[in-house]
Amino acid sequence: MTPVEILLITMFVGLLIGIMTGHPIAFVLGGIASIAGLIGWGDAIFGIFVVRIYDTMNNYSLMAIPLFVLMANFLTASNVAEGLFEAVRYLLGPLKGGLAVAVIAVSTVFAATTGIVGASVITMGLLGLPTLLKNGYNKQLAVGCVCAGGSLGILIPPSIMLVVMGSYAQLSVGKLFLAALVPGLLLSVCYTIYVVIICNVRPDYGPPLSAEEAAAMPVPARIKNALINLLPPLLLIVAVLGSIFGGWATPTEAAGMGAFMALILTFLYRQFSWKMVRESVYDTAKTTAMCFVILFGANAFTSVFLGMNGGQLVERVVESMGVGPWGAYIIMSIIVFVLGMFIDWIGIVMLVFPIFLPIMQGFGFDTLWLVTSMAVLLQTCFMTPPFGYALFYIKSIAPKEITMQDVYKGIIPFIVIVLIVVGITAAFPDFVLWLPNNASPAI
Amino acid sequence: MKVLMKITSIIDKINERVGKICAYSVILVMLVMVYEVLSRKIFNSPTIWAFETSIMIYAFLMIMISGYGLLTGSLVSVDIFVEKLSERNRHILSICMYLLLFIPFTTSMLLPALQFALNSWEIRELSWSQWAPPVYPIKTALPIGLFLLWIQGISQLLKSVMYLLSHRGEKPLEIKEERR
Repeated sequence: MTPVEILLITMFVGLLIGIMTGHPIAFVLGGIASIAGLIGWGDAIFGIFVVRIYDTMNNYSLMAIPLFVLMANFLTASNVAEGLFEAVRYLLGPLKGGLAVAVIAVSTVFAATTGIVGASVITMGLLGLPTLLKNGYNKQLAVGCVCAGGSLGILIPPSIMLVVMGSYAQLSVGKLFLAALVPGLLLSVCYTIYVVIICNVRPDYGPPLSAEEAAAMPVPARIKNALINLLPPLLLIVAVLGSIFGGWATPTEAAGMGAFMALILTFLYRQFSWKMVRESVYDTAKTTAMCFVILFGANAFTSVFLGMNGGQLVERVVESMGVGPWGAYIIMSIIVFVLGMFIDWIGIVMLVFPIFLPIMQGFGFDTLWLVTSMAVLLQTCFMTPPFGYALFYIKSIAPKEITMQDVYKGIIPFIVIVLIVVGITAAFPDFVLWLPNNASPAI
Repeated sequence: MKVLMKITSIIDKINERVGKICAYSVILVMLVMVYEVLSRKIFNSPTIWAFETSIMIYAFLMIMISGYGLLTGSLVSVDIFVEKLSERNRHILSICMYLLLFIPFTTSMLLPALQFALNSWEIRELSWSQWAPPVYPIKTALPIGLFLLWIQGISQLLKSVMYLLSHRGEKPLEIKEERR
């Protein structure tokens, strides 16, 4: 082994150890990059780090991130999800497992208006979970469907994850949004099918709405309410996604417009206050800092790693395994899945994409399909124990009788469903590629 | 001890203020976007300034709030492995990690970032576009933002040091563990 190879391997080992110490991942990446860069390259490397930060500051597509976060925060504050859930709950409640289906359905609509996970998991956790538990739903099923539904926020476009991925894989963000649309909806449909099946096999898992509660609202009123409450989010979806998919506006512009419309919604729902704006803005700053500081560190890490031909090293290792293209795809998926147990999507994207995308392109995989497939797989990083964001969010707001055990057990079926859907996208690439291939050339 | 407390509270206050004020620039970015889309689609007269203005405000936003992000604990870290450690050991580990990783990374970038900004001032660098706004103000934000992040890291480090100083010799049991 050459000294450079030893240094490269040390970087990865150091990365794993550093992450485990609980130091912010951004600085673990950056610190290791600084030390390794200084040894392998000299102090010119620090100038490169600075230029990479400046590149991030000038990246037009990444500008969509703070805007989508702001939009999600305004939307959460407007209570649009509350109204929708109240309406859909009466509409679907009389079915077996209907309330859980309502949670997934509202999560899906919410996901199509927001691009982050935190907002949707917390909203659905605060709205859906108490309702499910009150109606005698199985604890684990209730937690699982709230976590899984809430995590859809980052897969179904708009999504800040797809913005980062598009920017780092040099894909059109609009096309990536289109590509993720069908797998995202498919995932939501599969969750629904699972919930309906399990509640019919085990009726005690998801009892229908009690007769007296159902009597509180007659059927025509239910349909009317659902439609009225569906209208504002639908308008938002049409405006944001419609303008991106129609080639009208860039995703960044659509994010700005979406945030503005969400602000107007807070007026319409009578939730507007300066306090609300202040809190949304501060919260946006925190989430934005979370995303971008890690980009500083990860960019530094990958510049050093790739600059010392670390990419070729990984390529040689993968080739020497002699597993062929699909073997390489499975290896990449396993790495993403395992990393997802410990770190969040942004770290995984920043680490795995620069190293693996060139290798996979060498094997002849379509980048758009591959990235979308990884985006679906990254749903698991919110859901896999021990460190899944959705699990921690839900634990922090769930009532005391729900233990971490319940959360872990409840999420497993949904993780299996994600893996099945990943398999479907691999077996039938048209699920991913048909829409972008037939889209307007403007996006 | 008092000096340390003073230093950390000043740093925290600076980043809290700067972060909260700069956070509002996301509203500006939003308004510029809305203006650009409306003027292009409805009034059919795209602006020459909106694109770059929005990028500059966004660049300013993202670099200036990084210290605030660290202050508010918004940066991602994996704490499940250290949760089992005693509070004291966690602070010791945190100090080591700040010295080993945070300080080399951020400190090493301060001078190059300053040089990067100064070079731009020297040649009064303009953007390449038709509108050609000056680039040096936003390049100046880069060393300032990094400096804010750097002092915030120092403050976090000092907070751990202060914890150790104020809990000196309280739990001999854990010190034994630490030696082992």
